[in-house]
Amino acid sequence: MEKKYTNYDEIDFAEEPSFIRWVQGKDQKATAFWNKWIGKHPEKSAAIKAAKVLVQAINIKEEEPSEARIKNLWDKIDAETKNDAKETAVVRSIGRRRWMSIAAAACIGLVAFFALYNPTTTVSIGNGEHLAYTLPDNSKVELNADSKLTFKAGDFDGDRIVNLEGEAFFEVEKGQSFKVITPNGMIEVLGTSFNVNARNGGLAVDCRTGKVLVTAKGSEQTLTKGLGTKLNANKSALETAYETDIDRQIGWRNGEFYLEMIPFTQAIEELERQFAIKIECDSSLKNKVGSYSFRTDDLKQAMQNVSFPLNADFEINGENVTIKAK
Amino acid sequence: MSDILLWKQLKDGNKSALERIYSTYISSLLRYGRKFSRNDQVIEDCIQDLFIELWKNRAGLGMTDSIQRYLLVALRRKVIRQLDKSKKWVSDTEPTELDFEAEIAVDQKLIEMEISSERAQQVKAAMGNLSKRQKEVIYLKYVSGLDYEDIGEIMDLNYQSVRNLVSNALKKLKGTLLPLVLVLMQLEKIGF
Repeated sequence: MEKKYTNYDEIDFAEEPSFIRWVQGKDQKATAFWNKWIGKHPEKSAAIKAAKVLVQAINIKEEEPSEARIKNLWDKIDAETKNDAKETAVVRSIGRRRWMSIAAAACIGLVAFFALYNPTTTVSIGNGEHLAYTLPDNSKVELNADSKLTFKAGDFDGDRIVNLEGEAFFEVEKGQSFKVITPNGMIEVLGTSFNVNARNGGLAVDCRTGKVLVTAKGSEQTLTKGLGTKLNANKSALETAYETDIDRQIGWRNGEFYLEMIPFTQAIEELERQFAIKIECDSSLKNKVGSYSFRTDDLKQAMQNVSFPLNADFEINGENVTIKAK
Repeated sequence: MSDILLWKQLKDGNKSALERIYSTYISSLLRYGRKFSRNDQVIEDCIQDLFIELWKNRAGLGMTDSIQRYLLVALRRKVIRQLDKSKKWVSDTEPTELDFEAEIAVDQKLIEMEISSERAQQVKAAMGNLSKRQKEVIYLKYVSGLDYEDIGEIMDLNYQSVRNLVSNALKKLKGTLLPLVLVLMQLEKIGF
């Protein structure tokens, strides 16, 4: 064992596990061994010194992950491994139900008009807010930021129709037909839960439970659990129903956004809505199609997440953010 | 406790074994993952999936004598699959996310030896001359402290390829670092 080292050059030493552990100070046995060996082989001291410096130089820069991060991640894993049901699918991380806490604050944005003969209720919220709202038939709606819902409260039980601009998640009570009318198409259901995104002249619907009929531009799609549809790229018809990751689509309810295959401008709009900020961005970046995900609890982290795939730098100045190509 | 015993407890459905495995290896998993992508969310999602799957499929797990190796292999596959997916979506940006990025830190010891900022840059840039695979083997050998067999299994390479990668990487590093090595040897007259 000791013998073989006499033919070693600096590279051989630098590759030797016990030599590395000695240099890194990780192994007392190795320390004892090498101190002794070097004493016996002074002719090797040049090679040993070079190898030692080389191993010391390979000191790769790393940040130790924070305690909080390690704990948060474990909490998520812990929650998902609590119930032993083997058949449950792996569900994506679920954050705090942040919208609950701001729902009260969001009421500032809730305006109800009761005109005498044509009572229309308007529920609207601005940027940086989410709102949970219960309709007269006990169906639940969660409005995403910068969205508006109107309906006629007077005869809601007989004719369940709501108008939506923006994005919302619905949990519909069983009963007569329930219709969601958007500028770009209509969704009709019996009793179910589903997400509607009707922004930027588009329409995307993802069904979580029950059955949904979506009509737009003369085409229609029936969705059952786990299926979604959206207007195609030239907004001329609905795409054939496809499998959807509903937990991602409604991640916004927990402050989590997974935006897939979209131009960066749309991610900018979402960030502006969620954080109530203004973003200025190099025009060369605006049309880069990609996936952008972020959480709404940390602006800096969110900006890091979206600028990384673009290889861009960003700067936060209060409510103004600038994004520049590197 | 030995890895084999801890692994057996996990297979038997002992939740605290899962927690113990997590707390022992989470730091090295997060740090290793970060070398593939600085998008922390992606890495955390992969690690979360990894542990949930480990728990759900515990009964069917094979035996392992190295939990660290098992976890690094699994994480690497997940991360690469995930980044491949997102690479497809980012049409005209460079696929930098798939790079294994590692940089040498200029540590306090070298600074105390009053190396010039130019030399500090040389040290930092030394890893830049290595291929992605070379960076990764160097990382796994010198930071994670793994042997050639384990590294081969993690990177899906045979033993000899790992050895070649390591010694070629070291030769390159030596070339870049040589001026510095010489200076340091001059300074470190007292030796050992």
